[in-house]
Amino acid sequence: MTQPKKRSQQRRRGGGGAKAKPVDIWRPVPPLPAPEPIAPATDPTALLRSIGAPPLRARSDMAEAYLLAVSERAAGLATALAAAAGLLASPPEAD
Amino acid sequence: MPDHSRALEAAAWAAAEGIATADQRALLEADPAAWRLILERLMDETEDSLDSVSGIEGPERAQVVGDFEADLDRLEAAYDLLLGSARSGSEVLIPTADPTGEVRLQASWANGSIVVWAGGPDIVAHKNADLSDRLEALGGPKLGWALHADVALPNGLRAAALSIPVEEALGWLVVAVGGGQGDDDGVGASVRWLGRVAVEAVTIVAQGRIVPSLRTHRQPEGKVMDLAVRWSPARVEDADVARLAGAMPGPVAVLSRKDARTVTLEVIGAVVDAIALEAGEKLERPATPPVIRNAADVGEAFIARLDGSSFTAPIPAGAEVSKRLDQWAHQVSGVAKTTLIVQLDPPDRGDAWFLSVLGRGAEGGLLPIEQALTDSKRTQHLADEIVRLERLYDKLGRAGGLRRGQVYLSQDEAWELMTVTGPALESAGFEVRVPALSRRKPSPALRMFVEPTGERVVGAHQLSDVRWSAVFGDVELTAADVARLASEARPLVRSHGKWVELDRVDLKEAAAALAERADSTRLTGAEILRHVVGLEGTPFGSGLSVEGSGWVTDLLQKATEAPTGPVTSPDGFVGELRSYQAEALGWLGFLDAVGLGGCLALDMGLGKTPTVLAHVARTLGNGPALVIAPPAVVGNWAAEAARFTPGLRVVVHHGASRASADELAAEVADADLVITTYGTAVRDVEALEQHPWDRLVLDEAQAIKNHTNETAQQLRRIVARTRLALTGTPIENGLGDLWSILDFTNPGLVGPRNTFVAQLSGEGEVALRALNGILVFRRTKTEPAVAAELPDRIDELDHCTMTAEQIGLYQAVLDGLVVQAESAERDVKQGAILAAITALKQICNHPWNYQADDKPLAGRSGKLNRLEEVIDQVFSADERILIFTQFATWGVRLAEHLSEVTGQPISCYHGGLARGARDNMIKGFQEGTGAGAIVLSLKAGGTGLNLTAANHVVLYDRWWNPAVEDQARDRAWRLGQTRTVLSHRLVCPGTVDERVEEVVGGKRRIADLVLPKSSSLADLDPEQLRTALGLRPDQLLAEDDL
Repeated sequence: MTQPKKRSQQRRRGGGGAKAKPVDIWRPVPPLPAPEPIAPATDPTALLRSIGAPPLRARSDMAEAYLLAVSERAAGLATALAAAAGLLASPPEAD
Repeated sequence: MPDHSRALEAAAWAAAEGIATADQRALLEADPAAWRLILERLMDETEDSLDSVSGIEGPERAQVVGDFEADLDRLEAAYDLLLGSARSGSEVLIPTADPTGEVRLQASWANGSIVVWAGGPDIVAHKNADLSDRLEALGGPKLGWALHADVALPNGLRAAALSIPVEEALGWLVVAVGGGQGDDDGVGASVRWLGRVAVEAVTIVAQGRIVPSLRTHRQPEGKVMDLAVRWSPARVEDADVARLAGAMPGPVAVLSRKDARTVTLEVIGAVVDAIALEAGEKLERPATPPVIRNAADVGEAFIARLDGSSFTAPIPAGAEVSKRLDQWAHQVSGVAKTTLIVQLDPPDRGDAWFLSVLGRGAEGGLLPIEQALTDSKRTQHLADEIVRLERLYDKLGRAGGLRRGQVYLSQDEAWELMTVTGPALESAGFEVRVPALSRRKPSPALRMFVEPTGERVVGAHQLSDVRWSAVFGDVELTAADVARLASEARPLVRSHGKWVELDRVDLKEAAAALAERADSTRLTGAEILRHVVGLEGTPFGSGLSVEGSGWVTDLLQKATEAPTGPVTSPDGFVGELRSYQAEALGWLGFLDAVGLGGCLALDMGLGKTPTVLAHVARTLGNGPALVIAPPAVVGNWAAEAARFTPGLRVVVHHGASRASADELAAEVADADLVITTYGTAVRDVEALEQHPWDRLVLDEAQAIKNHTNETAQQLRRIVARTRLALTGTPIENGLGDLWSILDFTNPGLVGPRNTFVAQLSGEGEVALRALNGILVFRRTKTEPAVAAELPDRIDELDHCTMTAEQIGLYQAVLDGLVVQAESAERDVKQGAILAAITALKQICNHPWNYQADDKPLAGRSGKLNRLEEVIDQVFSADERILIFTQFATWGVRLAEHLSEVTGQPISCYHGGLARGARDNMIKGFQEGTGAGAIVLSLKAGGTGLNLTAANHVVLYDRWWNPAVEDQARDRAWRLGQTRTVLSHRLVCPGTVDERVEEVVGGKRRIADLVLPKSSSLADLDPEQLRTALGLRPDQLLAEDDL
């Protein structure tokens, strides 16, 4: 009579266990590297501009201007948050 | 089990539980294979234990089985991570987790809100009060919290909870948690993860990667729907999301029960939305239409409600606008897809830069976009991307006959793309490949290329054809190049592999400098050298470089070929030169090699004499060298030659018994070194100029700083292969002094005096730098490398002359003594002799010292002349000096005289002064800065005082006991002194002064002063007295011999 394979041995050979594992919310997870310094865009409106004015019929141009303004202000807020967190990248040095 | 294995097993357990220490992590990472084997064994053992306990019965079974299962889960998780990292080839990852049994602040994601609770493996906090305390201690938000239902954990425990909308907790999450600015103790892994994800979202917003949408919510049973503006992340990197999701701790999803990737994207989206809506809220917006009936009204409401507040609209209109907005943003929203590459190629020739847009073809290779559009599997996506790029970069739409996605750019446009537009395109998600650039503008310089004309003249008179250019970094530009670049909107050149923009002001200066020299196309070697050392102007504030061939380039090449190991013990030299002396020796060799003269400008006390002696000894056989020096140092030259270069045949040519003009030839023929004084050299110039000197050396060459004086003029008549000037103060009164010296050492080479003074940039030591290493070799005591090698004191013996007045008085006193000695009693005679010795010493000092009178002191004493020379050099170096004499009255008069001569207030410290006055005098001297002097009586000032402000000491007259002189010198050379102390002893050779020196030097005893075997001075007969105290003409330096 053969012994049943152990669960850990199956794992080592790439096989899955037949028994569903209970959820372990305390299971260890890989650590994350420290966040990269945040380098704000010189032009935070570029991506929005690249897709053109929003399709809002007669109000498209005006809507685009408002959206670009929001994007610019939001980038400013995010930059302020990054600075407060000490995560703002230094400006590039002249080389 | 061996200790190492036991430690490894403990570390593997700790790592599986997420509580490994740094040492344990290091132990595991050092041997991943052993780690893996241990994990496998531990899993086997744990599973065996699990099997064995599964059969037990009773109430404790569930607990025991649960414990083993939890252990097995942890071991398996650690094993998976280890294998995963090994497969990916990345660094070994040590898993993290909250430690068992410790309550920490945890956070779960729940549909736009953060739900916090406190707990850890198998333990929770049950009360909200505990949670509030914990939040406050960790600096959590004070407002915005709401009670939340207890969080039910899988193990059945329930934790008390509070919730807060993400926008209310943004600052805390990003700054305190994500940025690590807050207290980390007690913060669980789930909270730290949410902070880390919030930072990712902040990055996305800061880079402008956000797009708006119109979220819809249909009301039940109605014809209208609720709408609200929402912002989403755009072009999110899939790898970033995967990495964050892979590290999500379990407690984060305990409420939402969603997979890690979904939770990660939701958190990022919520943070992005919160920041953008706050920005929209602060914006001044138009009013919302009072009634929203159609799509146009919805569009207006969309703008009016950029703060995110909801509005109601008919379902068809709201759905239509929402759908259109989704389609509009679809190209960029969500995870980033393959995009286009914007590539800029620099011009081979001319100024046209080629820009091309590339896309990936079906095989994955990069193709021109027009080709990729027909070849790619995702043509529609590429087509949308090129439209997006063309919208952003309108140069691509310029008509030019090229294919789509290709355009030529001007220099200006290319630079703009490299510096401004390129980063904007990258923000929009395009990859931009531009040549490397530098924002550091290269410094300009002038360069001359010289080529001898082929005429047979060599040396400083050699004619060369000259071409001029300007050099920016490694880029050489002709006048035409400079003119062309100056006319361009953006003057770009490639320097050191990087494109760089030249400064227009620099270009203008370069154009002017080249134009100014356009006619200088044929120059002599001397003229080229003058350009090189900056004597013909210094464009751009720096010198110029010279290339090509000929006398100057050879000269400069040799000047830069510093000997790899300066010779400190040259042939023929007994002793060891200091490093800077050895370098100076190398420089003297360079001068010889190129046939130039030069100025050896070592600071006073740095050893110019031994350096020159070493050079003369090293180049023996080329002919004799003539040294012209002040009389005070002639003896020193002879003494140092005997000490350091005993192989040299030295002749001292001075005094009444010196060789006549007829005899000089024979004397010179047998000499390697002839030493004479300035006075003798001028007097015998006709005889001296008859001899072919290999080198002419002027010591203390400040004697010729006035080029028009008799000495300077007459000495020019003496011909030598090379001329060398020695001085510690080459610019005593300004650059004119230096010109006089250099024009003497290299007649005509440095050009006219006025031009030299006007063109040599800077003043003082700064000006010397341009010439240093070529025509001048300068080292100062303040240079650290020099100071490090100096002894802490240097003693010098200066031989001084006697004036006719001094000699006459001296002789008269001696004659009187002899007469008195013939008739006096023995006791009287002994007293008279001692008094006479004192009188003779006073006469050596100065006639006034013997007999005070109203006449000025100047010019009446060789010692005083020498003292004035020494003070001159000391003051030129901004340093301070002590002058000791045993005669207090003379000291007072001397101080008065020196004050008049130098213009500096100089006091005399002596025993006749009140204590307070003496203390103030010492304090004032010691606290003073810059040039300064004080005269001290040997008796009153020789002991006890601290005068370290001075680093020069002159012992004006000698005392019988050397210990007394040492004590006097030690006023300056003592604790607290940081510089080398230079001590001068002034002696008149051939006089009683020198005989005292012999006593002090230990060569005689006082009792032997007069006659070795005399038992008493009173026993001497007149002739013996004359021998003992009289003048010795062969040694005497009479003023006539100057």
